[in-house]
Amino acid sequence: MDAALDLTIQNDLQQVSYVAERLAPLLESWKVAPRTAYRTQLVIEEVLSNVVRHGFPDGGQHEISVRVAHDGEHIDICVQDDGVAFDPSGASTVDVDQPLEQRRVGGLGIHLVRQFVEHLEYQRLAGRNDLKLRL
Amino acid sequence: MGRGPAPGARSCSVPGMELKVIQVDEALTHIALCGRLDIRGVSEIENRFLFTTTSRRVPAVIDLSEVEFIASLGIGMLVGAAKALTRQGLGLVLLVPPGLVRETLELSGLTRVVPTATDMESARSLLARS
Repeated sequence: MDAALDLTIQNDLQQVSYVAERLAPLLESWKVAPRTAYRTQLVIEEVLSNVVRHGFPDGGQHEISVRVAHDGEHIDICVQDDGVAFDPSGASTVDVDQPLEQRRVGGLGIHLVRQFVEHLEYQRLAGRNDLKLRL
Repeated sequence: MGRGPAPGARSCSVPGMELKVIQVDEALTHIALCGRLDIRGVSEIENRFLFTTTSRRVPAVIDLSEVEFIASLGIGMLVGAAKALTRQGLGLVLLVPPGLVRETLELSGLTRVVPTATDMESARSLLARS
């Protein structure tokens, strides 16, 4: 199995960008299809930015761990954090048929994640969110 | 800057996200975005983008041909501009070629509510009809 990306970041959007920077060359080294690479980057950005922006309403410094691995066929992503419980598979869906004037600016990230992943598994374990995704 | 890029080449002249003003007059705002519309890219250009596209009370064409990546924050920025122009009774057309960015916009539903074209002539036709 190829090398994986294992990082622990703080709840800071700049650090989400850091993960994206580290991920890009790894995806290139794995020689995954352009569509898979694009979707992996989008899923990582949406999941991590969602945790950072909504996971810690009381503020404070928190750690988020992220692992991205490639087994030659699939990309597996695991994100763990101690933020408020959030199950993306149960989140309300975005109505993509809404007229423009009724659309919220934002709220699309989890919708896109659910479109792009083959498998999504969420657990709340010992007060932590444990999200596993496969593309 | 005025010449088109070679096929497949990235012609952004600065690292990060770039906003190029192609035409700004009493008839049209035509801008081109270049780079990645991710967290960092959106934070770099969002204020200037919204000001350029929505403050002049003319229709707008936004060329996304050189956008390599778009996440939900970038789509939200486009929705914001489209809503502001619609409230003013003005049209917005996205110039976006087939590819992964277009596919993402389609999955987001944006292409159902904001007209898209693949060339400037078609974009002008769509604005004339709006």
